[in-house]
Amino acid sequence: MSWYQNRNSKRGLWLSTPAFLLFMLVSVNVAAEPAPNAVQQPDLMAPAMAQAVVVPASGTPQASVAAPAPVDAAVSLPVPVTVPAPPATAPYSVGFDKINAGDTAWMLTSTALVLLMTIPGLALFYAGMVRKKNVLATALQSFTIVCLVTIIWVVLGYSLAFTPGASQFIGGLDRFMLHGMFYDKASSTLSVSHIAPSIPESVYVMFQLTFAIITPALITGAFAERMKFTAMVVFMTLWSLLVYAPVAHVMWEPSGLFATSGMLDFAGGTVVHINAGVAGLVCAYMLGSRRGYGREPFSPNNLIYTMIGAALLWVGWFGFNAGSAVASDGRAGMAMLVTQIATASAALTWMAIEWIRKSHATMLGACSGAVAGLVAITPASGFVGVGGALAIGLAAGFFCFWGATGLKHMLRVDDSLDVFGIHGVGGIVGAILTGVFADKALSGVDANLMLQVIGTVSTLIYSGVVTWIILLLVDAVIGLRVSEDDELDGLDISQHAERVI
Amino acid sequence: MNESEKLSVAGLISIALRRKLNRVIDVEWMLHNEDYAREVMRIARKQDMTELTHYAERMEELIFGKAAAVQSVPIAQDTKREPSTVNDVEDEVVIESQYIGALR
Repeated sequence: MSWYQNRNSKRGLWLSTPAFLLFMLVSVNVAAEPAPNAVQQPDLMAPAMAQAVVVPASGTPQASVAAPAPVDAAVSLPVPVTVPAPPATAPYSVGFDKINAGDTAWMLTSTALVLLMTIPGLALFYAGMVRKKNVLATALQSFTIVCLVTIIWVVLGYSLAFTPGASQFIGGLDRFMLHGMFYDKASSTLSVSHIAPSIPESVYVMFQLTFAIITPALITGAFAERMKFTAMVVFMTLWSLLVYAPVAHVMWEPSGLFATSGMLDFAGGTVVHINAGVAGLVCAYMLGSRRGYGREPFSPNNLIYTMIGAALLWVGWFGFNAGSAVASDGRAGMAMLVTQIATASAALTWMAIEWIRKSHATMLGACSGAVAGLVAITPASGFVGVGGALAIGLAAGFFCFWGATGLKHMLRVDDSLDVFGIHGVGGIVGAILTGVFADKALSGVDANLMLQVIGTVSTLIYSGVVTWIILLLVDAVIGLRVSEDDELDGLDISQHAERVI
Repeated sequence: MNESEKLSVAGLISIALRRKLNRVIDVEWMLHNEDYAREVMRIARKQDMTELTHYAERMEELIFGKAAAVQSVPIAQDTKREPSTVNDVEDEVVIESQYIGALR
């Protein structure tokens, strides 16, 4: 039994899957050759950690050491020097006075904004694009995922994603049921995450929860109009734990492999969008095309819903990107600015392409372009300036248009609402261009293009293969797809006994 | 006659009926059940729309053959044109056709 099997033998069968082996193989290569300028989570931790002085439950106390006396010193007495405490490696407790009210206020706001992206943002965005007989079912999928992932997250997901584990691939079980997270008014202490030490841990748990919610919710667009509701619930439960949590850990937990290697993903281009995009593509392949696909028109039932949804996504994305600064500071302001610029740039690019190809711009195109820009700027939002944002927006508009049209036809897959074409392709464009346009003046780190590519490819492979295995399992036990009659009747009636008049 | 032509004409009838009567028909079932197809074509002919009548005739020809189609054409057809309605239907057909096999 090899070293990793020994270490992970109790973690479940999935760790022995070919996908995980491949993921580890690629990852170990990355670890063996760290980026020359790699730093450990410099964007989030460095300034705040230097201020952490309270001895935590599981954190690291400030240290006092005696510095060696200089050789030519007249007096050879040791001089006591206080050095900053090394970064904490796990959640710990602090006094109320260590909590930054401004940061906390902004993170509470950001959390609400990101939740707004899923309900009602994404629910409306998707519901407007399906046929009338599937509107309720499509919106309900997003709503259900909000409830489902919330429970999964507090029980196990947060612990697996955002606490240090025995390996660089998955977190520990220390925070099972959010164990150890507390707020104690009597002693004026509360717990904070080592990743976000200036805000209460409860706020950080909630903020990251909204990311864990929207990622599987994005996938629903790929299998819209044909998946069983029960199968969707089981699939999303497994996917959240087996795909989202490990990928989030590897990328964002300071001990995670890509975090230590120096790969840049400010707000989730890889963790959220590439991850959801490729999972959506696999879902679309596994479920097969909708009945009549390619022969009948599948007209969107109400593009005003889609426009409202896209607008809510746009506004909510400020919480997503600027919130990922985990502070109410200048960097958050830059993230917000570049988000706006890239989104506008991508929407205009998409409409321009439509104008050239079809002689008209469309509402759906404008919304799609905007979302493409939002997706692509996500990993780069804390690292690039105005020029980079313009370029990323332009590239996102162009490549995502191709992804939702040309690539979709090449792949011969009924990705109902173009989840891969926009989120997958946009995420890849953003991840790679982050390596090109990242500005050291903004973040203090240099980007490594090769690392960005390796991280992107690893995530594509890991997420794709594990998603495929989960779908095989769910198909064998429950069955993925509704019957032909149910599909013809529409999911609103057949799955939920409701309909829109 | 091929399946795609049948589907195409059935799609046109479906769009026109939805536009005119807000009535939804099952396009695929129309190709598999002759009774259902006859009923849809009967309803289509009743609508006083030249274009819809034409589609119904074409559909009948594709499903039952030319002779049957000629036999079943009503003797007193209302040939009154309703230009705006017909144009609306044509516009809708153009709009809907872009969503065949593609969303964007």
